[in-house]
Amino acid sequence: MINIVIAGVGGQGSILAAKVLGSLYLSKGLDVKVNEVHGMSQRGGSVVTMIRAGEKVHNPLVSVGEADYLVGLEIHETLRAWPYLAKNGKAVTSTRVIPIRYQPGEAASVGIIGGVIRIEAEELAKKAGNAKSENIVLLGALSNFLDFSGDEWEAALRENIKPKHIGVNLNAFQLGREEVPK
Amino acid sequence: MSGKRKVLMMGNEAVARGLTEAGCSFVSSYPGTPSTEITEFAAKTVYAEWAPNEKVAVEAALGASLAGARSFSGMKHVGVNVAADPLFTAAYTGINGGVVIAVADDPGCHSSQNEQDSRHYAEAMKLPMLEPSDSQECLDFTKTAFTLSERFDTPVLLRLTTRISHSRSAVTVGEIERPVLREYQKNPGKNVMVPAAARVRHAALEERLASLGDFCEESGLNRIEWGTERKIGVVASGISYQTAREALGDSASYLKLGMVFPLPVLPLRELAEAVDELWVIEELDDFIETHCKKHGLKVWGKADLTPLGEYTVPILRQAVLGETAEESPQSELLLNNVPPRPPVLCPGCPHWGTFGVIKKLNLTVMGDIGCYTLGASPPLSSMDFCVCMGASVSSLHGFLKVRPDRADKAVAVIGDSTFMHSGLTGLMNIVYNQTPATVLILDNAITGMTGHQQNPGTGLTLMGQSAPVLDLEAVCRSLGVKRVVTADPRDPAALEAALKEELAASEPSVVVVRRPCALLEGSI
Repeated sequence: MINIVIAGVGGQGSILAAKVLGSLYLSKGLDVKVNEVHGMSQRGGSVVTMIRAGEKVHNPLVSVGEADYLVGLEIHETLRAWPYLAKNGKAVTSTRVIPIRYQPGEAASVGIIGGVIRIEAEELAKKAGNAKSENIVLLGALSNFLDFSGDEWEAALRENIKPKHIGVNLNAFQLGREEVPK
Repeated sequence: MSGKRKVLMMGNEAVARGLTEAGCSFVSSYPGTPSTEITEFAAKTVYAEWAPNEKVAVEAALGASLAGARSFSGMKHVGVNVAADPLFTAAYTGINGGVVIAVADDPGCHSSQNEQDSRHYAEAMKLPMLEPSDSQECLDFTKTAFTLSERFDTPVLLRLTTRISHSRSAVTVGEIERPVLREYQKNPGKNVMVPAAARVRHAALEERLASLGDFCEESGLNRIEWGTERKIGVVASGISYQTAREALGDSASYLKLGMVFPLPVLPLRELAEAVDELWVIEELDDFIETHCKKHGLKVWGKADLTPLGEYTVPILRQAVLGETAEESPQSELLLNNVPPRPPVLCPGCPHWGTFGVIKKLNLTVMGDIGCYTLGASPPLSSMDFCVCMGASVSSLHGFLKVRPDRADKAVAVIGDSTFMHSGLTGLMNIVYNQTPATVLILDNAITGMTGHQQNPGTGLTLMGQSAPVLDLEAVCRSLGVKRVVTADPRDPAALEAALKEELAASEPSVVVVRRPCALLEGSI
């Protein structure tokens, strides 16, 4: 069973990233479940999206300590979702900080956890042509650890992204993919 | 489209696909998370519309059914409270074209004001209820629900929960059936529920319920999956089945229920006799457990499992197997260090301006359901009461009737869509029973919180056709409110002045605070 958690803030595009991953595993003939967050809980709040793939997937939710991969679209959210990561799991996070307003407590630093791969996703997304393609930059970074070919990734991106946005997103994916040493 | 290829589909989308495949030709709903996308997806292939509220939606669906169409309405759990009136009696009349009503519960209150368990409605209304456990079943059960509806002459409830509605899983789609209208024949004895007819139809309902009881004993909707051992047996449906299946694995045996009302007895007995201990695993109330106990079965359930929130694999493993998940010290450190990030009003949202003034004037606020409910959270913290759609207006009346001295310090705050849903009658009551209440209608020109649905005030239908725009000010005046003013939340000084004047007035007033949703304007 493969378990992936995507953590971010409502509106950052975690659902699209999850759909792309879902398509990839489905195309490999695996059973897939993707759990999403919609509605009020998405309105600028923390959003955790989960992708599970295997011979047969029952529950759509990843349990604490079970995620093989954690993709963080924002530093606080990466930290918040960290307990999901398995001991040998890999984490890729954007260095993006979206301030948390009107809440008690201080912003934590990603420095308190080890072994996370940091990506300047916002910069790379802008370079790709659209700051909103951060989610796809991070998929590009993640792609270095998953067993799919470049063609398979491209097919999954094309399946889930409208033709008029695909160019920017393919750029974003490539920039993210090149950012992590293999 | 290839008929056999598997696609990933959200549960709600799969229900919509099921409607299309079943030849449904009329959909009417009011949006509500987690049910909204069913109707949005349906609108791509089936005639579908947003009604002003769930009661109107269900009644419209009943009318379409009477005329011979397969018809559908989808709503969140609290929507059934609004639509309960027609549904209880539609159980008496039965249907002409098949009627399916989807009800999406929200264990864990992801986007809701309560955690009500809608299965009780099936029992109280005496309507059959199916509960799918993944997207494929969402599609298949929707079609089955139409078949059962017409076979047993009854509306059928389809129960979903957030994790079923909003999870994607693999679906093989089927063929689309062309909608066919059944013949319409006038039949007052069956369809006009005056007492004499209702007494007769009540007897018919009880007979139907008995037939449905026989049906569910044999139905393939309920199946036993035998495990490799006979130690633990589990009775479950929907998402709880999936969680139990994962937590307890292949060694346990499962009675997987696809129909949660009426509930069978024979397969329960069969499983109970075969295993050492029988567990009922169900989120929220002890609905199935009570049924088991009524039939003398010894089961484990709510004595060890909470009626609160959603179940997870660790919760079930702890309750059933006595296993405790190991806690990582790092996890605890992190959880204590990251401040929570609850939902907030968007930057640039017009409600900031409105609540800024309300907070400055330190008003008592009867709140309502929508984005502006977030006015209850810091830093605004400007809400005293919020229970359900429309309650702001009616509760303010009661509050002021017994505390008239607070009339210049209290307001009702309600959105445009919520006002049309169920604020009108409350305003009528304010005029009729006379309190000098001040009602703020926050008109952001869309149904916001559920993700920008059209409504009678937006000038567009669900299917994108232009429609007359409801004139809120004219509606309020026609209800007898003499003081109706309009203000812009981007001009707080003017809004404050208008609000003070209306609060001081000794008769009912409405302030329409108008500014389109910031997301709609594309300004953020």
